[in-house]
Amino acid sequence: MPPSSVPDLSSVARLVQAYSAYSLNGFVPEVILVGGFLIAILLDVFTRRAKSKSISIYFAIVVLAMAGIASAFQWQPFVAGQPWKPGHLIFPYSQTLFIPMVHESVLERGYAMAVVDNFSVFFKLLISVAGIFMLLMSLASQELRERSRRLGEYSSLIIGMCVGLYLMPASLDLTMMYISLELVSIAGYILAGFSRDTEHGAEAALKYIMFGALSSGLMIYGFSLFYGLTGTTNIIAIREVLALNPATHTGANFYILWIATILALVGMGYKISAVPFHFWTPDVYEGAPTPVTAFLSVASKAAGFGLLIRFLIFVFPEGTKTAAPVLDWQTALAIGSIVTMTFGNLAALLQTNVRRILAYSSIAHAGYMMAALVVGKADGTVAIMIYLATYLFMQIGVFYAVMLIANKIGSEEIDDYRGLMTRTPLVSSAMVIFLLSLTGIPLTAGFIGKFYLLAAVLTPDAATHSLPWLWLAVGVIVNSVISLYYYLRVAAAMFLKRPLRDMALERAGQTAPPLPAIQFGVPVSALLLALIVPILVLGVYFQPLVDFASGVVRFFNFDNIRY
Amino acid sequence: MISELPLLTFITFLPVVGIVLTAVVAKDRIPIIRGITLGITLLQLVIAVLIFLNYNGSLAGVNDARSFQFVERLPWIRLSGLGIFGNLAIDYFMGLDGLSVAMVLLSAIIMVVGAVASFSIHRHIKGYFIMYLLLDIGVMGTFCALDFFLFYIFWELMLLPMYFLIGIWGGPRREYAAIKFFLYTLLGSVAMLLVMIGLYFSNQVLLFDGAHHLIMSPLTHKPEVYHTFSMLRMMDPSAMVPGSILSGLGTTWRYIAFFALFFAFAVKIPMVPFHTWLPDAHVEAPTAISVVLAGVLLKMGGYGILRLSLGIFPEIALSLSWYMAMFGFINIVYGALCAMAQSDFKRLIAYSSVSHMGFVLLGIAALNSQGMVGAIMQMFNHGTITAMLFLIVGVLYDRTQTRGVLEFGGLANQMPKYFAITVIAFFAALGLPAMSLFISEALVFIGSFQTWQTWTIVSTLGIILTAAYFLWTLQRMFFGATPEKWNNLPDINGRELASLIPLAVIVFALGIYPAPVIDLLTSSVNALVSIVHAHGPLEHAAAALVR
Repeated sequence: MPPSSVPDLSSVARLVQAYSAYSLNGFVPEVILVGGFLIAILLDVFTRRAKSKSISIYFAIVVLAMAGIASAFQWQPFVAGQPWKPGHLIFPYSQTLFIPMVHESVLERGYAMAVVDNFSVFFKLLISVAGIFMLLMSLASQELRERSRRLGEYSSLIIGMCVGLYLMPASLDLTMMYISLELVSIAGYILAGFSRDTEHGAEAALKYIMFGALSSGLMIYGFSLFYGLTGTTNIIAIREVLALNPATHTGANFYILWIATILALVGMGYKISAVPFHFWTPDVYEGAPTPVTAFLSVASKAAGFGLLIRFLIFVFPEGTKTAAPVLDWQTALAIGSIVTMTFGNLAALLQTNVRRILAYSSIAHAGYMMAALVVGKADGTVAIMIYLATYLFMQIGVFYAVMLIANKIGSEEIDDYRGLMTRTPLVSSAMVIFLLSLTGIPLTAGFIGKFYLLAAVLTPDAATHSLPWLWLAVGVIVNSVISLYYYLRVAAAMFLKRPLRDMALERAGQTAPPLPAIQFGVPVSALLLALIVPILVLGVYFQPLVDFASGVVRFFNFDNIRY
Repeated sequence: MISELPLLTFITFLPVVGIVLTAVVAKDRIPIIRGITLGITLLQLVIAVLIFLNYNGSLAGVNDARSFQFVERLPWIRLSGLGIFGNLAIDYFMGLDGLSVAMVLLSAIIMVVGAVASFSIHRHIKGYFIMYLLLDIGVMGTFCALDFFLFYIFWELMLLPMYFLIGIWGGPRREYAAIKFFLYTLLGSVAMLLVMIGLYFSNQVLLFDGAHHLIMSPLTHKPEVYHTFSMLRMMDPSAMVPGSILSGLGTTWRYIAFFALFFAFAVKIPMVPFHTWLPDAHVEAPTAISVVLAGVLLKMGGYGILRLSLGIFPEIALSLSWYMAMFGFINIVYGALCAMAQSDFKRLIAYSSVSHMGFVLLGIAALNSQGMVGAIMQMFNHGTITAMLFLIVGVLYDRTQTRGVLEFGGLANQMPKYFAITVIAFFAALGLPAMSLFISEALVFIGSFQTWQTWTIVSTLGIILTAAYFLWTLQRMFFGATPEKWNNLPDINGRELASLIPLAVIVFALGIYPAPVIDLLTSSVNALVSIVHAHGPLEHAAAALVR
C-alpha cells in the first residue's frame, strides 16, 4: 500500500491538539457524573448525623437524570446517505505506528479514545434509566435500610460505576475499553459486597473479585497481543491494519489473532455473564443487595454488550462467513450462544431460590442476545438494542418484585412464595407479567425483543438465499420453551399452590387461619406500575422503540463502512 | 347497514369491558360478577347472530381481500426498514369468510354455555371470570384476525388464562395438567413464530398512504417496498420476493415451514401423537373450561390448518394429504380405542374428542368440497356435542365428586331427566341420523372416499368403536343396580338444563336441516379447494406417493 502523498504530520498534530480541548464538550455527561461523584462523597461527610440517609440516594437520582438529559442532547440527527462518521471524538490522538496517513485527516477516521455517536447515546440513556430505577428501588430495600449508615458510600459508588458504564460502549480504544471496564468492575466489587456482614454478601464480593481479576487479566493480555500484531490500540486502526497488511493475519499470526480475540472476549464475556465465564453470576446475584443485582444484570450487561458490539463490528466488520477476511468469529460466538442459553436454562430448572433462578435466567438471556450478535450488522445490532431496552424493564421489575416480597416474608425460597396471590395480589400479578415478559409471551415487551431477535437470526443470507443460522433460531425457541417451565414454577407457587404451613396444619387436623395480607404503600405500587406500563405498552405498540434503535444503527451505515 | 359497523371489533373486545367492570366490582358481589360475564357473552352471541344473518354466503374470501366480509383494516405498525429487515407493516386486519364465520358463531354459543357452567365455581370468583373473559378475547380474535401477527398474538393470548383456569380452579393434578398444556402449546406456537418470520421476509407489497398515494422512500424517492404479515399476501405466490426463502413451489424450505406450521396446529387439534396434553387438561379442568377447551380451542387447530397450512402452502398440503388422511384415521381409531379403555368418565369424553377431531383431519385431507365442508361442519357439531358431554360429566361430578364410570349404575331410574339428556348427547356423539354429527361425518366420508378410499374404509371402523364405547358407558352407568350411596342423587336442575337444552336443539336442527350452516361455507370451501388444486391434479400427486 504505497502512500500517495505524505501528509504534513506537524499540522495534523496541531489540529489534534486544538481538538483535544474542544473534545471535552462531548464529555459533558461524564463530567456531570464525576462531579456528582465528588459531591456525593462530600454530602456523605456533611450529612453523617442526619436522620434520613436517603438524601444521598435522591441526590444520585438527580445526578443520573442530569447526566441522562445531557446525553440525550448529544443525539445527532441522521443524515441520509452519509457513511459512519465519528460524531464527536474524545481525546483524539495521532500516534499510530503502521497506518500511512493517506486518506483524510485523523479526525474523520476516529483515532480517539472514545466517541460520542448515537450508539453510545442509546446506551447512556439505557444506563441512566436503569440507574434511576435501581436507585428508586433502593429506597424501598430492607437490606439497605439496615445498613443506612453507609448509604452515602453506596450512592457515590453507583454514580462512579455509571461513569465506567457510560464509557464502555463509547470506547474506540482498547485501553479505554479496559479502563472503563475496570472502573465498572471495581465499583461493582464493593457494591456486590455491600452486605459484607452476611455470609452470602462476603461470598458474592469475593467470587466477583476473583473471577473479575482473572478475566480482566486475560483480556488485557489479549489486548496486548492485538497491539503486538497491529501496532495500535485503536479499534478502527486495528481494522485498517488488518485489512491493509495481510501479514498480520496469515501464517502463525492467524493463530495469534485467534488467541487475542478469544482472550479479549473473555473479559467481555465475563461482563455479560456468558458461559463459561458465568461462575460468579449466581452467587453475586444471590448475595448482593437486590437493587445492585438488578443493576448489574441490566446496566452492566447492557454496557458489556455495547462494548462487545463495538469491538466485534469495528474490528471485524464484514460479519458474514464468506466475506470475513480475517477470522470466522461468528461460528465461535454462535456455539457460545447456544451453550450459554442452554446451560443457563437447564441450571435454572434445578434451583429452588428465586434469585438464583433469575441469575441463571439472566445467563440464558445473555445467550439469546449473543445469538443476535452472531448475525452482527444492522439487523443483529438493532435486535440487541431492542432486546436490551425491553429487558431493562422486565429484569428490574422482576427483581423489584422479589425484593418487595423478601422485605415482607424474609425469604426468596420458592416454597415460601406459596399462596402469595391471596396475600398480595398486586405484586403477584406484577411478578407474573414480568415473568411472562421474560419468557417472551405476546402482548409483553419481551415478545417484541424476542421477535426482533429471531427475525435477525432468521435473516436470509442475501447471496445464497439460505438461512445460515436456522439452528441458532431453533435453539432460541426451544430454550424459550424450557425457560417457561421455571418461570411458571415461580408463578405456580404464588398462584396455584397452598402455603406449606396450611398443609401441615391441615394434616394435623387443625383449620388454618389465612396468612395475613401484605400491604404496600403508594410509592411502591407506583414504581411497580411504572415498570409494568412500558412492558405492556411496548408489547402492543413498539414502533417508537424500533424506530429509535434503527435510527441509531442507520448511523453506522453498515453497508458503507470505509477502509 | 349492520355490516358496516365494526362488528368484529365489538365481538372481540367486548370482554375488555367485562374485565374492567369485573375488576371494579367488590369481591363479594358474586351474582353481579357472574352476571357481567354472562351478559357480555350473551351480547357477543347477539352480535354473532347479527353476523350470521347478514353474512352473504355467495362471497368466497379465502385469498381474495375484496370478498371478505365485515372487514376492518387499519395500519397498526409501520416501520421503515434497514438492512435486510426491510420495511415492516402490521395491520389491524379483521374479516370473516366461510372458513371462520361458523367458528365465530360456535365460539359465541360455547362461551355463553361456558359462562353458565361457570356458576358452579366458588373460589376466587373474580379472578376466574377475569381469566374467562381474557380467554374469550383470544378465542374470538383468533378466528377474526387476517394478519398473521395479530393472529399470533390472539393465539398466544389464550395460553395464560387457560393455564390459570386449569391451574387454580382445576382438579387434584391441576398443576401438572396446566403446565403440560402450556408447554405443549407454546412449543407449537414458537414453531409457528419461526414460520411467520420466514413468511414475513418472503413477501413484499407496495403500500398506499391515507391519500391513496404510494408511500415513497424519503431517501431514494422510489416506492417503499414493505414486508407484511397479511395472510392474504402470504397466500399469493406472486407476492413473494423472487428468490426469497419461501418463494417458489414445493421447495425444501417450504416443506420445512409447512411441517413447523402444521405441528403448531396438530398440537392444538390434537393429532396423535401430540395429543397427550389433552386428556390431562380435560380431566383436571373445571367443567366450564373443559367445555370451552373441547368446544372451541381444539377447533383453532383445524381452522389454522385450513386457513394457513392449506392457504399458504397448498402444493405441500396437496402432496402430503395422504399422510394427513392417515393421521386422521389414526386419530379416529386410536382415540376411540383409548376412550373404550377409560374408566374415568371425563377422560373417556376427552378421548372421544381426539377421535372426533380425526374426522376433521380426514375431511381436510380429502381436499374436495364435500370433505372440507364436512370437516368444518364436524368442528361445529363436535363443538356443540362435546360441550353437552362435558356438561353432563360436570352435572354428575358436582353431585358425587367422582367420575369413575364403574362406580355408577342404574342412574336411569335415579335421575330420569338427566338420563334423557345424556341419551340425546350420546346418540348425537355416536353419529345417529337426524342428529348433526351424522351429517358432517357422512360428508367427510363422502369426500374422503373419492380421494383416499383405503383410509376411509378403515376409518369407518371408528364409527363402530364410537358406538360401542358410548353404548357400553350408557349401560354401565345408567342401567343395572344402583349402588347404595347414590340412592338420593338429585336430578339435573334448571340451570344445568338451561345450558344443555339449547345445545340439544342445535344438534337436532342441524341434523335435520343443515343447509343454513352449509350455505355459509360452500363458496369459501370451493375457493380453497381450487387454490389447492391449482397446483397440480390430485391424482398425479397421489399416484406419485402411492408408487
